[in-house]
Amino acid sequence: MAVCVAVIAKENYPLYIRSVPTENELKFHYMVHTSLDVVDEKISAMGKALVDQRELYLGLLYPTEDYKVYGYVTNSKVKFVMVVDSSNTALRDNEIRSVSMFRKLHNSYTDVMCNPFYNPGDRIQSRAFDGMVTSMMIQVC
Amino acid sequence: SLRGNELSSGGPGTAVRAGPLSIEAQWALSQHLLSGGPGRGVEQPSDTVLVLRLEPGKPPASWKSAWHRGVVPLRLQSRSGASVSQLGLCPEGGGGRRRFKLRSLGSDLLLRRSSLDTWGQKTSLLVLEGMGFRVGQALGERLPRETLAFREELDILKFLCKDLWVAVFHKQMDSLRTNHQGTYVLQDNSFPLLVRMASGLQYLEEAPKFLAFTCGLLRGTLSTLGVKSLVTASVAALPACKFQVVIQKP
Repeated sequence: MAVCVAVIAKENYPLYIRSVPTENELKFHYMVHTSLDVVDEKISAMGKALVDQRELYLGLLYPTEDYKVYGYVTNSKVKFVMVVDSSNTALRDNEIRSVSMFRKLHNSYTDVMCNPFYNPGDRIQSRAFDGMVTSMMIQVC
Repeated sequence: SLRGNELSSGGPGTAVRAGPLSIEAQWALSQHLLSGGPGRGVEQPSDTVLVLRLEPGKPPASWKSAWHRGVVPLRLQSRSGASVSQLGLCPEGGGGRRRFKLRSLGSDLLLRRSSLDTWGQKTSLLVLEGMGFRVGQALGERLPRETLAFREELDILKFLCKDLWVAVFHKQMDSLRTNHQGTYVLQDNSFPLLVRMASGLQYLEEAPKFLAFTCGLLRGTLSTLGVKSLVTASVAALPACKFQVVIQKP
């Protein structure tokens, strides 16, 4: 399960960032921020490689000793970053799980975008989105 | 009583003299007319029209033509919402004299000045285009699926012509042309919103306003996909229309 989920806008500011509350949240914010560089690198590398089909899912961005960071980018250059606990072995088949989790994130983000009361560029304050993210995060009691 | 344009006080049924009225004079007239009546409110002068009643038997044509010369209309509205005026202005005297008499008249006639129409219409078209823009932004998020297939601008425009048009209008755009310098012309020979309206050259002037929402739709989708643009529409013969997209370089 994810420890921290972030949605970053095209201009590289966060639209939504949420982490498991018992941890030091600033650390996660910092990890997400540094991962943006890696995301940008992957996007530009894909462009130069001229592959016919480019994947939205970027895969493992970088591992630290405790956590793994995964990335995903949409057609509108909105990035999703997910931080996962390394010790959690349930995500061993990380490709599939991460793809399905990012797919859910993407669908929920699309729903938020289609909300006529939402102005693109604002922070995301949708309860449905919050609920979906909660279901993806660890329950630490 | 008002100087300058020779309005004098009078209730319904009283005839007063008035010359060709400027906006300020009409505003003053409206204030004047309503000051005596109970429970009446007055709108801002820029969006008001004067409701006039004609005397039965008076030919409306000559009256209308005299009135249209240089007069900005006023609307007088009571607080209850019903539009009222028991008083009106009608031309007095022989042809060529531009004096107007204020008197109580018989049937209703609502006048609008053409310049007022243009201002109101421009605002409405801007609002429509803005709504189309927001819808386009949402569609630009929802429609492209699975792959980051937009390697260049032309791919994005092709996506507009094929996927967006099929999703919204159930048909593809008929032709896409470009000058390779940032201008694209998208042509649709039977645009679904115009197909049911008319066919041919008859309503060419009025048709482009029905395309305002679609222009905004195109602009919004382009904006989500990272392209700043300006979209205009033109109609050569209903129902064929062209959308011109000019990419704005930052």
